[in-house]
Amino acid sequence: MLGGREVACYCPLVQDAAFFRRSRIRPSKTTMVPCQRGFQATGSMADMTTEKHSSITTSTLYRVTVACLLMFSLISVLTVLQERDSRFKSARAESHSNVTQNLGAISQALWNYDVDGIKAILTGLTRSGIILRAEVSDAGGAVAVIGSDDIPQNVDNVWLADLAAPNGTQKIGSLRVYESYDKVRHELIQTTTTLVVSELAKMLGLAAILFLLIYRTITRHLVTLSDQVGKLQPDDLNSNVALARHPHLPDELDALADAINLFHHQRAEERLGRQKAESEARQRLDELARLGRVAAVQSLSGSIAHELNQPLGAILNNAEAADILLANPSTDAGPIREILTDIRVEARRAGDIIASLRALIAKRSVTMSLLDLNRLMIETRDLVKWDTLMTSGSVQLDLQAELPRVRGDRVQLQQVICNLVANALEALEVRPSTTGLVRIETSRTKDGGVSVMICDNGPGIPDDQLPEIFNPFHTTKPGGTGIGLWISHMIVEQHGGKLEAKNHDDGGVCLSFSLPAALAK
Amino acid sequence: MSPGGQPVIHIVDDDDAFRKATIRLVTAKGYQVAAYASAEEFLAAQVTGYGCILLDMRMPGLSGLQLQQQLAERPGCPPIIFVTGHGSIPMTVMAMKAGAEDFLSKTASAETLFAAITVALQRSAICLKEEAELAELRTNFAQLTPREIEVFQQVILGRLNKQIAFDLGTSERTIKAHRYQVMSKMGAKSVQQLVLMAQRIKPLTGFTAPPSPAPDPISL
Repeated sequence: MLGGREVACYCPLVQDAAFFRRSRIRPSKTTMVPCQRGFQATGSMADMTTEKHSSITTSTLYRVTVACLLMFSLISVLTVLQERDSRFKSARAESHSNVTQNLGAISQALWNYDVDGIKAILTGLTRSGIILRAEVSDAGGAVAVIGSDDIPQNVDNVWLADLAAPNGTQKIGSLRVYESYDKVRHELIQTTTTLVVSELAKMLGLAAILFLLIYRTITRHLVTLSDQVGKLQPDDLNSNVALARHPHLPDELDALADAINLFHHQRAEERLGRQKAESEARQRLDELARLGRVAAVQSLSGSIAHELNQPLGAILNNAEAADILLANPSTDAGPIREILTDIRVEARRAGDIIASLRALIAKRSVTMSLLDLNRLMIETRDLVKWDTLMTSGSVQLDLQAELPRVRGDRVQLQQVICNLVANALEALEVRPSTTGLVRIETSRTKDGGVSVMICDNGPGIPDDQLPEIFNPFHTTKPGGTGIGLWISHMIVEQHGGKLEAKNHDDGGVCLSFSLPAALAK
Repeated sequence: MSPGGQPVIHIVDDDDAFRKATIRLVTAKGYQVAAYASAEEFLAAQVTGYGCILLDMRMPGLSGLQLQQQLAERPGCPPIIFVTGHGSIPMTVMAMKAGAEDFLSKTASAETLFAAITVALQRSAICLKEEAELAELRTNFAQLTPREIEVFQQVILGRLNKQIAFDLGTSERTIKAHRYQVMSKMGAKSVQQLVLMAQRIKPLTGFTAPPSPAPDPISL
């Protein structure tokens, strides 16, 4: 997830909403860049929202620190537990040996009945802190008691030693010792605390040093790399990633940067190559499409000349009429002015015809827009006036109302319609005896698109030739170029549609193409 | 030569602007004009008489060529000048073969147009005159008795009166009287004229006329 960026293109023809849903890339508004020319990715970098990420250093160190702390604590506890026994043992042994060493002196003092002496010795015994209370008693009861007056609550051990007469044969009394290891315990707790605190300090210090070290040597470079990878221009061969590091021998980070640069370079080269190839192919297709339009216009040139000669003839006749009227000196200005107005209107009409023809033939780039095929059909009919092309027969236009709009290039689709109609009209010329009928229908397809069907009642196409009619340079007409249907086929395919031909039962051919409905905005 | 009355120029064109401009031009030149927006409209008008038709080739519905075909079946129709925006060679050939007077482009100059109109009107006049003559001939012919028709047939073959009399089983004198009747009823001044008349009425009456010129050098 380091700087997750992705090149995305919002292209109406290839847009796949599910793609955005599937992937974790969430396109922001600015990423919906419509493809220019409709088909081709613009390669704009899309700013994908990057999720906030934690630092690998921090999380690793946190885990290491916690693990070490737990481990050291465990070791400390085990150490302390082990030490506890040995300390207890040594404390007991010490107090025992103390008592044993002083047994003789106490016996002597009791023999002498030197209570103060006994007390002094017992005081010496309790000084170590382990013996809380020591009492010497003889046959008559307690002689001396040192330490707490009552028998203490927290006694761990009580033991009794016999006191013998100096000659060693006769028991003259006994020594009772109450021992407690609280002091040892206290010492143990202190030791443990010191140990844990020092370990903690050690760990924290080590973690801090490690953090600094890892951050300086690895993490900050990774962050830089991710930033730079995000800023790489997919079309720019010269953009690359570079690490700001002191001179050193190349290591894994440098290898990573090199690998990224190599990958980017290859990708950019491939992309540029593909773009170049695409644009070349597009240019060739544009040229070819233009050629096809020229061919289509040529095949309809009779109708176009007719169309253009109407206004020109009207202008000419108006001018000649004015000339004749002006030869008579008594002519009013009124009719002349009327004539001039008509001449102006007709000149403009001729200009419009030439402009629309020019738009059809001229070199141009593809511009995709939302189109109503019914309207386009009527516009094309008005431009070409195909029904006047037929010597006998008629062209029927059957348009289904309220069709969904399609996305496409106006001129190219007009070209397709012209090609298909010209094809139908030419098919009828082969069979002039029958009354020609060209049926043009628009309708809605099952999947919500729009279908256009152009049928003639000509001789039809032999079934074995049907699959070939969209091949380039396949023609059955003398003087035909065989590119009209081929280019129409390609144009329709580029619009995401399909052009099909079939013979219908009553004789003649039906050429139909369907286009997908434009996605609602 | 003019068969009485003004010639009428009939303009048949679907394009409003061109029709209007042509009406103006032809009117300015002093002709009478009748205009029609379609071939069907023209057919409905049942046009006959002195004049000519300026006919557009390409029109929705009935085309110019189809109108020409239909008009060819009608007698006394004015000659046709095709005025088209763009005419292909086959189209021109078809039109001329079917008897069009001329074939002009819409952008032809007024001079060309009026020259064509003048020629067409001349032809219209001749055509009308011929039709009138023919009608007269037919009327005259209808006045002949069956016997006179028989004599007529023999006379134009160049047969002598006595040959005819022999064939028909009657006297030469009777034949002479019949021959006189035929000549006066038909309004012919010579046998040669009678022969020419016979040729002209042949298609109209089923009259069996001799091949011309008459093979027999002997005449009355």
